[in-house]
Amino acid sequence: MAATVESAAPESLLERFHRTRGWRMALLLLSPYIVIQIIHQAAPGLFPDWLSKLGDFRFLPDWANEALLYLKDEELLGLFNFKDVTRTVSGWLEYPLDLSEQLLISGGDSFGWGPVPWIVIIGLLAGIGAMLGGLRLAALAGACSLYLAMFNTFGWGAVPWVVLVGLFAVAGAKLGGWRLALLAGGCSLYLAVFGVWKDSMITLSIVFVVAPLAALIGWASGLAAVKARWFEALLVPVLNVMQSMPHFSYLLPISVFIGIGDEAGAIATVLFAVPPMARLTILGLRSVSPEVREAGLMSGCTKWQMLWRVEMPAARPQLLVGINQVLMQCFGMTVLASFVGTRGLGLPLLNYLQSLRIGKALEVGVAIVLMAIMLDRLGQALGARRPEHIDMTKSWTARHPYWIGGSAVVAAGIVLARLTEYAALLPRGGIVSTDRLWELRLPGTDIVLIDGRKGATVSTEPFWEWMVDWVQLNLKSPLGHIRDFMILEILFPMRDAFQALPWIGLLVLVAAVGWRFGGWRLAAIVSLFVAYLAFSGFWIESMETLYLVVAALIVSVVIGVPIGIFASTSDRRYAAVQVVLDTFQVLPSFIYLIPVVMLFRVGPVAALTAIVIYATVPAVRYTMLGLRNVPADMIEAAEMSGCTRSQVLRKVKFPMAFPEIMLGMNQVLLFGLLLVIISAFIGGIDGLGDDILLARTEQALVGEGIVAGFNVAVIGLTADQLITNYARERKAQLGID
Amino acid sequence: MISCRDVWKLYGPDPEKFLRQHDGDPSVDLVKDAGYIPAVVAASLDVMPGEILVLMGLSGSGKSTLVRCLSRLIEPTAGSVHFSGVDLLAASGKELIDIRRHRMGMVFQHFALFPHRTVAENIVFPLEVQGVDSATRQRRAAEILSLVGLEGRGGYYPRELSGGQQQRVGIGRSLAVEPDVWFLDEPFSALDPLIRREMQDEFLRLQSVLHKTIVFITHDFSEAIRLADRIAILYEGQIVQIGRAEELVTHPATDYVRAFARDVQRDRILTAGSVMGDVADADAGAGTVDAGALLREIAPTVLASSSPMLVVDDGVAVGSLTRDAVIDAVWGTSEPEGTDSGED
Repeated sequence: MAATVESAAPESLLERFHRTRGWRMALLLLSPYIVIQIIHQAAPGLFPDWLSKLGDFRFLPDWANEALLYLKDEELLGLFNFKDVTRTVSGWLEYPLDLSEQLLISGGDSFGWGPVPWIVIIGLLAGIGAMLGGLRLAALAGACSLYLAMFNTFGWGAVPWVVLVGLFAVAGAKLGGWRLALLAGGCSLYLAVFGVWKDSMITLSIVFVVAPLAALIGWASGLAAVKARWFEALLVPVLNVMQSMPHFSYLLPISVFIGIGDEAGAIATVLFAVPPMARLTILGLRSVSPEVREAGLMSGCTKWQMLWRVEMPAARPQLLVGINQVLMQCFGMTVLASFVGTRGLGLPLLNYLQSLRIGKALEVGVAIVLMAIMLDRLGQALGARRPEHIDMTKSWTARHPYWIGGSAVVAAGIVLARLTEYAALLPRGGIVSTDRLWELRLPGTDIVLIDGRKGATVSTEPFWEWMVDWVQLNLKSPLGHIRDFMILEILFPMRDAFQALPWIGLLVLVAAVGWRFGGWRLAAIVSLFVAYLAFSGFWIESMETLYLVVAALIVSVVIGVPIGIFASTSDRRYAAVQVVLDTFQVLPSFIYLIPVVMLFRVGPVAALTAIVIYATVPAVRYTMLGLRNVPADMIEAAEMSGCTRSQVLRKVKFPMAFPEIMLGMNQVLLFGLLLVIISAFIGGIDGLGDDILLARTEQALVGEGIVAGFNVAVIGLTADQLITNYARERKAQLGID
Repeated sequence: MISCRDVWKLYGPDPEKFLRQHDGDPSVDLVKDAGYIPAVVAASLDVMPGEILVLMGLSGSGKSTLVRCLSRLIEPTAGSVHFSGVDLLAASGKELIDIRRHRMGMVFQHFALFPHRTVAENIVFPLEVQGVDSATRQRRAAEILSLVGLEGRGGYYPRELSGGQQQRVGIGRSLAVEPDVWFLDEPFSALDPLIRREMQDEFLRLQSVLHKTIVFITHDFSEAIRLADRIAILYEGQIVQIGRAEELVTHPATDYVRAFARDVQRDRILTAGSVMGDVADADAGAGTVDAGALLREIAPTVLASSSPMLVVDDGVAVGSLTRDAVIDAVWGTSEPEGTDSGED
């Protein structure tokens, strides 16, 4: 191995090597790999086959399958059956899921208290609410449980849509003024008017159950990690792996143990959303200033008082950020969980995409986007709120406008819903276009923008269909040319090159890079990762995935870095781009497939495009961040030295921002890996995603799917280890943060 | 009131074992060579009832660590701390909580207010954790608010107040339980110079009413002089000298103390008694000055007099004071570089 040669050299050479930078360093690190490639190509006789490609190992997937079968059918330690346990858990979930769905959409009938654990969990949640938000939140929790009790006892109908839209608006007003009120009210109104109310409420009902659960579990494990070192040592690596696993890796095993349906999706979602909460809990509790802690101790707090009255409230901002992330992760995952038959907005989207009804898919897609934006902005506004004193000279009504507004909305809505069913749920019309009652045309054309359906909802499907037709008619040949060119001239040659890569070559390459930036330890870790890939039985598939992600990385960087540079040059542009990026970031990854399918149908170009759209976001963000963080006096110093603008960029800003931009590329890679799996759904590409998707439909292939999912995580972790170590070293050299 | 003997705080792999191996008294160099960080080294001091003892040192001198050893926020590596006769280091967790709830108050450099509580809720937090009923708490909050000059601000949240006001809340909270001992950890360091001055006055006003036993930390020698009855100077974890400001200026124990003392306005610290010469040299006709008078007060008279004046203490002649002695003491002719550093 190259590293061995280097370290055996005298120290002065080693030092010189460590001082080498830029292209020369890259070349040095690449050299062992190039040597291997040359031998491999020029003298294949010298190069044993097993160093290039290992046989078709299947032991890992087989083990995984057997382990799953064992868990499914056998009794663990002769005590209990794992599948029974998971089924029991799923049984517990059924009750709150039903209850929440009845409340939001389907209406209730008399219903018992449900299994005992729920009383405990609801009690815990209410307690935490009271601790975090004081008496008022406790009162709200009380009112809600009272409503639930009434709802159960009297078999009330679901909450009318007018009430929910109104409440979202009031919540928006309270948290972020009239703008947020308009946004929240408008987004929820769209859901009602465009006939996706039912699906969106099912999604919301699942989110309402899983988000608090995930937050609770994440919070508890974060707390345990802060209080017990050994638990943190255990938890953090698990979180690392969990967060670099693609969403599907959660869905697969769940579908084996739980089956298909809402509960499966709910459990996968909880697991998926726990890590960010755990992380932010740890961060929040750690960031409580030592002085505040001491102030608590000097006031004579017991341990319990310290936790609940000092540490938790002081960590509240971070906890709320965590809860917002949980909310968004839950929403995205619930939508994606339609792959295992979870109902809600994802399922119709999946069906429409599969039947290529792009117009309908777009409409549902817009609903998902709007709901994501609404939930995110409400959650963010909640997290950004800081306590303010109350002017006690004002009257009670003046001090509580939003509580009064909210109550009024509820009362008026309930009355209205009794009077007319239109206020309870807008009846949906048929789906065929003959049901159209009225339509709104683009002035001067016969292009239908919106049509009114029999019933009371409207649809924009005709417009989208028209647009899809237009794209097909007018752009088919240029797009087709682009696609064919990309496939034949760029992607396939690239794929072949990656597949021809001998595994030992890649191993030597990452080992060299790892050794340079993290010493023997890192070199060993990343070599182990690559060796795992080689022996996993999915080497070719891994390379196929890697090639697509690397291709997407290149395109994302080419697009994203210039945008980032452009956006960082003025405060206004920076703020505007930030808003766009934030919005893109909260959308469930699924969404990115819709426009892509519309333009490119299926195949690697479509997949590449989807990944690029998704992964350009971090490329832009980190470029912007890196450039904005260059100290102002350094730029002034450069300007006073007589640099032109482009010199400032090239000679000062860019070198300073480079480590941050590399971290951005790391994110691009991780994002790309997540989406490459979902992209397999639109077909035409092979690789790990294909195996994962196959596993979804064939139980016998679940082992393969899990190993393939793990491979995705390993690829991600390898890149992550190398890049973060590089960035840390370089930042330390530059003396930034 | 508080008495500590040979308190050590070392940071490192196994400080207890290290101290034991060296009979509890290794040299500082030995400690450093062994890879330990000496935060507090063999510190012994007594805080008298009703006095203001200022712990003075630069950052990293161990003053904050020492005060936290006195309140056992930090567990000392070795030594003993007695708090009105109670062995604090032997106290159980419950006893410690009890002592803190009733007998200690502490003010922090960065205020350490609870951001989620109003001013009033912050102030009565120590009462709340004791389980005092809400009516008593409200009454006490009102009392404290007026004591620290924050009437009408009880319903505000800390972030809505200025730095000076926030520290008033911090002071109020530390006084809520009427503690016997009051620890102040650089309470005014984070404030602007003008506000700092105002808060020092406020502090002295409060102390003239409350007569607490106070341990006050600062890195600002002029603040120490303004407030202190006695000053303890810390350097690298060691207490290098304890005494009244005047003693530190006239008889600095080390060069380190001397360097601090150089920058002060000596005419505000030194008294006639501390710089006087032999009583035999006095010229009775030149007039008399009081031995306890600050040079600042008597300078015009002494400087105007051409012959040595008589220094009296309680009517008894104790020494003589010449113009040159005053000039030498105040403008430090014995230390030439002291003249240009002056005041900051």
